[in-house]
Order: sequence, then C-alpha cells, then structure tokens
Amino acid sequence: MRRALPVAITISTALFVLAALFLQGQIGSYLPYMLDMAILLMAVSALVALAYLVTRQVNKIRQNPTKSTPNIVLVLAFSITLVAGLVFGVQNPAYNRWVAAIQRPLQSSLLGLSALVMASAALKLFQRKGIDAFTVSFGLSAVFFLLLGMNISRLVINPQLDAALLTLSQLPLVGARGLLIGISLGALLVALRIVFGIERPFDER
Amino acid sequence: MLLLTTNDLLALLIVLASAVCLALFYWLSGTPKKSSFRLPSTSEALESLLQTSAEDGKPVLLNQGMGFSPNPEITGLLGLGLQRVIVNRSLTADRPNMVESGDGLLSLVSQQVSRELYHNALMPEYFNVEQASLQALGPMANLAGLLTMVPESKPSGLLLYGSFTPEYLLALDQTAKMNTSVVGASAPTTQASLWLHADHSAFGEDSFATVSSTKPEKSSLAGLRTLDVLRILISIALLAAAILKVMGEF
Repeated sequence: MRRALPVAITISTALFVLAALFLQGQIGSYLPYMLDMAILLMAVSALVALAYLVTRQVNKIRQNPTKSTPNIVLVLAFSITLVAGLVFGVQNPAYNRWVAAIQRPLQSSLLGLSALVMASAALKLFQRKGIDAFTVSFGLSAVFFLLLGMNISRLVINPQLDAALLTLSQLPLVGARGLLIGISLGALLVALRIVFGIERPFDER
Repeated sequence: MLLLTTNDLLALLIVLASAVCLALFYWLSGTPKKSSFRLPSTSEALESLLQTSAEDGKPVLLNQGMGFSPNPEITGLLGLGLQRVIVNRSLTADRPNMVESGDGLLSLVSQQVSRELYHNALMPEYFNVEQASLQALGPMANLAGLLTMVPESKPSGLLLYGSFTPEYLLALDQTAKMNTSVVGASAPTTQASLWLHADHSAFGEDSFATVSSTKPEKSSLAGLRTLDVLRILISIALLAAAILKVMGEF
C-alpha cells in the first residue's frame, strides 16, 4: 500500500493532465487547478529545501567558525533578504531595486567570465579533442556561420550564390530541430514509463 | 464535441504509437541483453569514471541542474536515473558520491531517492542529507555554489546532467585536472557550449540513453528499443514530408 499509493497518484495525475490537454472543451477548465496545486507543492518543497540549505550552512559555521566567512556572509545575506522581503513585500520597488543592484553585477561578471572561458575553450578545442572529422567540421562551420552572421551575403552580387548562402544559413536551425526532436522523444518515453508505473523517479526503482 | 486540430491529432498519434511500442517491448519480450544495443560513448566514460573513482577513493560529483524551475520539464528528471546508478555504486565507500541540484523540489526528490537506496541496502544510518542536497536556488546561484564545491570536495569527476545554461562551462573549466567530466544537457545551446569543455557529451536522445544503458533493466532497455523504432518512424515521416513538399503537395 505504501508503495502503491504514490504510483497511483502519479499515474492518475498524469492521465488527467494528458486528457485535459486533448479534451480542452470537456475537462480543460480543471487544468489550472491542477497546475496551481503543483505550483503550491513546488513552493513548499523549495521552502523545505531552503531550510535544509540554511541548516547546513549554520552547521558548517558551528563546526569551523574561523574558516566559515563565506558561509556567514551567505546566512546573513539570506536572512536580511528574507526579512526585508517579508516586511516590505516582494513587489516593493525599492526592495526589488536593492536586490537587483547586488544580483545583476554579480551575474554580469559571471557572464563576462564565461564569455572569456568560452573563447579560450574554442581555441583549446583542437588541443583537447585532437584533430578529427568532428573537430575540423566544427571549426570550419563555426568560422563559416560567423561570416554568415556578419551578413557577408551583402557583398555577393550573384543572386544564385546569395540564395545558396541563404539556404546554408538555415542549417543550424535544422540541426537544432533534430536535437529537439531527439530530446522530445527521450522525454516522451520517460514520461510514458512514469505513466505506466515502470519507472519511478521518486523512489529507488 | 471534440475539437482536435491536425497538430493535436499528430501529437496524439505519436503518444499512442510510443505507448503501444513501449508496452509491447516491456511486456511481451524477455529481459534484453545490454550488448544488443548501441550504447552512447558517455555510457562507457561513465563506467570508467565510476571504476576510477572507486579505486582512487574519491567521490564523483553530480549536479542535476535546474530541475523543474523556471520551466517544469520532464528533462529536469534526467539526473535522477544517473543518481541511482552512482549512489548505488558508492553505498559502502568512505567518501560517497555527492549529488547537488539548483531546485527545491528536485533536491527533495533526490534526497528521497538516496534515502531509499540506503534503506534498501539495509544501511539507513549511513544516509546523510548532505549527500543529496540543494546547492542554491536559481541557475547562477547553483553555478556559484558548484564553483566552490568542485575545489572543496576534490572529486574524481564531474557529471552535469539535467537542465543547465551555457555558463556552466565555468564549472567544467575547473575540472581540467580531473579524470572525466560527462555532460548531458537538455537545451541545444547548452549542449553546444558545454561540448567544448566536457570530456564526454551526450546529445539529444543520447542524454536519456546514457542513463538507461547503465541500468540493464527491462524497463530501461525497453525504452531504448522503443526509441530506436520511433527514430526510424520519424525519419520516414520527415523524408515523406520533404518529398511531398518538393512535389508541391503542401
């Protein structure tokens, strides 16, 4: 019974959502209630997980107070943000400005750093992976699509070549679509295995 | 009165065909052999990483990404299958493999998975919530946490499996001195950028196949076989659609 109940809830919920998506006119109006329940559950679980996170940080500070400066900063920042959010409300413009003033520069610096690392990774690619058909085609296509992105076709006066370049510029979209089909197929099969009860992501099976 | 568009009907057809294929492969065929499937390269890399990690006595660090936030997608569950494999392999290790995520719900599900594995191995007292915990909430915070976690825990290898953003290549950059980094991401842009730095990457449906092929179970391998059939059917459908378009039927 203990194991059957979560499986029964999962299967019935999945079948209901699937049916509501296809039978919009008949039971589609119940779908928002189901989604609200899911959002509520996600919010509660986020709170529980946050409590775990803060407890872990506090335990680290207790165990080794001298080497816990980042943990102290984290707990203090979290507490101040939480209290300010509860007092002023998350829609308060001043509160949002205050949070954004700290968060945005940090995120931007991480983005800038990743741009630099990505550039160096592209250069180190051949050193890391060696020269084979895959890396060479990657390098050539990167240069080619970089030139296409710079709108090099403006310099081409031949209309047939221009049309060929236009067709070639669609190739990344084709590749991305192929990847998306693959990912969707994988996701569909995982979902079906959960609906059938032969895969249980929430326990040991 | 049912009002289904052509797209709805096609979607319904694909779902029903997949369900029938999966059911047939699961219930009618016996337990398939692992050797009878085309395994992605990441599958072998993962096996080798787990062996090296056991020999070195170092943990493997798995980050499951953003899970169900900001968009609730089934691909957020990608890392859970992998978690079952790597936690199972380190139940009695001195330094058990660690699992982190950037989403509250995913971290709780992840804790539940690890707890059940320890419980089933009759060693519930060895389970510690810190082995499967929340790194931080949000993609950037998760990345920042991961950047400190990698040098701190000195893992044997890093696994990024789930929903990520391209900036996670910063974490892969830190793993240059490690044995292996394996990536399985759901977004194409992330796959493209992380491929540059990862030792092994799984693209498209291979992200799902890596996890399935490491668990030689009837359900996982039935899923792989269904995937092969669907791949063939979709290829035929795409080819037919292209021919019809060239002939001016659409």
